[in-house]
Amino acid sequence: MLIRALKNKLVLVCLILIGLYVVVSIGGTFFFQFEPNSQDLLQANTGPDAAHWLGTDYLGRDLLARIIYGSRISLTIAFFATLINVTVGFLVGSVSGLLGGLADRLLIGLVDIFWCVPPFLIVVMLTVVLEPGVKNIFIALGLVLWIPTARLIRGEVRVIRNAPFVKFARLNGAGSFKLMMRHILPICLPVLLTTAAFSIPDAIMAEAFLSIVGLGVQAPNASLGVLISDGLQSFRVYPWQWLFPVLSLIVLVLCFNILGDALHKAYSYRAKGLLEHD
Amino acid sequence: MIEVTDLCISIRKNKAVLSLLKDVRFSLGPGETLGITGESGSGKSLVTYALLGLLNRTAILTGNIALCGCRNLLKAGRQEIHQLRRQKIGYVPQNPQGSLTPTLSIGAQLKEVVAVKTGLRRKSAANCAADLLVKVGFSEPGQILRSFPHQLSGGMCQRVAVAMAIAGGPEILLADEPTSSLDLLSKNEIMTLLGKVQEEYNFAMVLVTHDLGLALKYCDTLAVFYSGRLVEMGEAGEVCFSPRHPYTKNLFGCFFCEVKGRESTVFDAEPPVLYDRLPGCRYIAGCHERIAACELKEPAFTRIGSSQVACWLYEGGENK
Amino acid sequence: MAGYIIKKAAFNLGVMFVVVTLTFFFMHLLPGDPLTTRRTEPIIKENILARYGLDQPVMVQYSSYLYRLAGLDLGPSLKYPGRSVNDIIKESFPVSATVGLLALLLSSVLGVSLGVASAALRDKWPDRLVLMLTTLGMSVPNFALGAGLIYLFALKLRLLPAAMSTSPLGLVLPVLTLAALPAAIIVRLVRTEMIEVLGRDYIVAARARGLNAGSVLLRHALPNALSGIVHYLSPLAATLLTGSFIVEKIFALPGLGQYYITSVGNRDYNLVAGITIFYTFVLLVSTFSADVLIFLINPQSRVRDEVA
Repeated sequence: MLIRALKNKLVLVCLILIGLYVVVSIGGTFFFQFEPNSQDLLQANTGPDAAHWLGTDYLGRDLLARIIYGSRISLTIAFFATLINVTVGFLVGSVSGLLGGLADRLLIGLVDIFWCVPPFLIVVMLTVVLEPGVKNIFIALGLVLWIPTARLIRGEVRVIRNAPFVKFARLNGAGSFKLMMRHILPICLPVLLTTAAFSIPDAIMAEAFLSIVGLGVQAPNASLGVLISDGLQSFRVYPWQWLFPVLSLIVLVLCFNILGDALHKAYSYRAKGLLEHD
Repeated sequence: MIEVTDLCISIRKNKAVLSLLKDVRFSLGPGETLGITGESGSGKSLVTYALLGLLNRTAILTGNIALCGCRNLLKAGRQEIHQLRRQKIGYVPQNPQGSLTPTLSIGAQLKEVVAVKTGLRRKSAANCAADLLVKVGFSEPGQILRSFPHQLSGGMCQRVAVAMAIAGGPEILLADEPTSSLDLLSKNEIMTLLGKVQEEYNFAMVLVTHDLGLALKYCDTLAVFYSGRLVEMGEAGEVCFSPRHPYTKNLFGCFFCEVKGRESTVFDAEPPVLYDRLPGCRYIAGCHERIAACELKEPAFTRIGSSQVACWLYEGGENK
Repeated sequence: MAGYIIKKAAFNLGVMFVVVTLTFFFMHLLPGDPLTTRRTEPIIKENILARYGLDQPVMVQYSSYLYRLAGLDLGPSLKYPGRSVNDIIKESFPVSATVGLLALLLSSVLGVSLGVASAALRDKWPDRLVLMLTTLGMSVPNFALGAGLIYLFALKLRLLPAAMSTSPLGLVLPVLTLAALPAAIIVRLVRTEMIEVLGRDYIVAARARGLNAGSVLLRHALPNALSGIVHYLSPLAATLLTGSFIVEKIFALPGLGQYYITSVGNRDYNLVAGITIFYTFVLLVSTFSADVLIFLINPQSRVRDEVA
């Protein structure tokens, strides 16, 4: 079914685009001549031209270079935040689902409480407590994102818990941890993959939000969020400074969303009914 | 009234065409009752859905269904089908409580059905609804009208379903396993009720059931299905007491043993999955009387007495 | 029914308490204090701290904080002398709420109708179009959409005011910006749930009984679909009602969101705590209303709770 999802042309395009992004952003200015942080005040605020393909910002820094580096930072943050999200979410969710009892009830209580508090409050507070910086941003994001994942996994595990093969494995002496890793993880993999696919764009956008709010990545480093934020200051006069970072973000996020959609569809195939439906 | 000729239902799945029902044929006049029986998954309900025009474009239907003036249901337009559902057909579904909308009161739902079937509005529809409830045996229609489906028992819900079905006086009633999920008393209640209203309205009734006792008691004609094929059809008594097709024999054999409390002959083999393609007769795996011809080709219908049987044993008249 | 309400209310109060406590201690964990951003003489600093009671031991501060809250007094702002948190909230919340409420209305109406239509026309071209639009809607963040709309409608076409205007015309763009993402989410939610409901036995029976297609969709299917998703809509509603910081920033609207971030930076404990509590309160109210709504729409849930 995964293969079938990949056969879809649109999905392939998205994967290629994402691959391109990753490669270019890691490669960095290896491909281009300008450094993202080198200022050239004489060239400040110029529109797209032959020298600076996407124009420059208010300090004369080449926008294309900054976007490339910005993508790198945004993707890094998103990737690690997703990693934390999925790992912690899976561990907590499966432990809770398997063991039940007090641990389970604590988790549900935690989830319920966090359900009631607007998430951005938590993120904001976390980013303020921890010193602003790339590392702490994805920790903060990961710490907020794992909760719904854990709930999802817990639900799955509770369903699987009573399956014969689980009982069989237990009878064979499998400890809970081993049980989790070898039996439950493969079954939860589709859900985790889909979660991850959607978690990356969420994290990218959350990071952008934080940057606009002033709590994200600090100068001179720039993530896509910072670039957009700077762009917002001046978009009425120099629209390209906002437009190109925004477009990069949208394309990136769109690709991941389409990917996530396709994964979701591939794994939750429901046989079409025979009865009329309109 | 109903005339089904060579009805075949198939579905398209991943570029293959899978056959679900093949060569179903029967006819029914006013006041008659046809029983359709067979195991779960033999395609019994599909016939009902086809008669209601409920199958969507995933299903491919060939053959002909002539219904109450409509010459070919399979080619009928949306409007015509709606018309038939409203004025000619009554439907009693399998899941009593699940077939009523949980968020609407009985009154709301029943009034809507009455309005759609009889054209009455508001007050007259409300009165008609109350009358229908009395007719199906409720002594306090007002209270029922105010209740919600989850507040009623299965038997009560099914009586409401019958009320909905007879609104406007149908010419055909389709009852798809109406008593499967009911307890014994409710079963009897509903079947007696159906008998009573059939006498009054003189509609033709198709009763899908896997309860052979009910089939015997309430049906004039009985059609036996096996794995998507009609294997035997005839007058109910004859099919029951002198079954011809090996499957029917097996079926009623078990039934009578059960009734008499005796050990029944082992009922073999799982029936083939509906859309598996098999070259010969589909009952081969469980049949104790098979002959060479059975593996080669699917048997055609033969007339014996008043019944029709699809079995190579009866090719060219009574063989056994 | 009363028992149900009381139980829910008690739970919500419990959550409020936890949030209040956490906020308080969180604030005090932050490095620095309200006066770090200003350079003041040590003596003056001491006096100011004393005036606000910030020199007391933490537990004492905590208890006086709780005491104050019991009287629904969120305290004075530490950063804006002379203004109390209650006042600040009272001034700026209406703006946020107006934008939020309008966005909520727009996204709900749009979301539900498109979702229903999409489910009814499943797999036909309108459905595919709607799905594409929703994917797009979820990929375009509000800071992108907002600025884009301003550029297009205000600057280029000069049809609508660019910013800072709380007149009805001036609210059009902020509301559209804020409503886009929730609308996309709602469409998806409604569509999925409707498709599931449309496969149920009572819908098949309703059709078999000859009921009008429109009635089947709207009267029989929709309420059941909605009762399944109201639970997810309440956090959405709350987020909308409290406005969005970014939208307010882009359109320069004097709402509550802007105060929040600045007060965190300023270590204005009272304001941060006050706004957090207020936001949580709004969220809890909307969750509560959602639960009551389900109760009303779906009679079955009433019985379950009566038995429980």
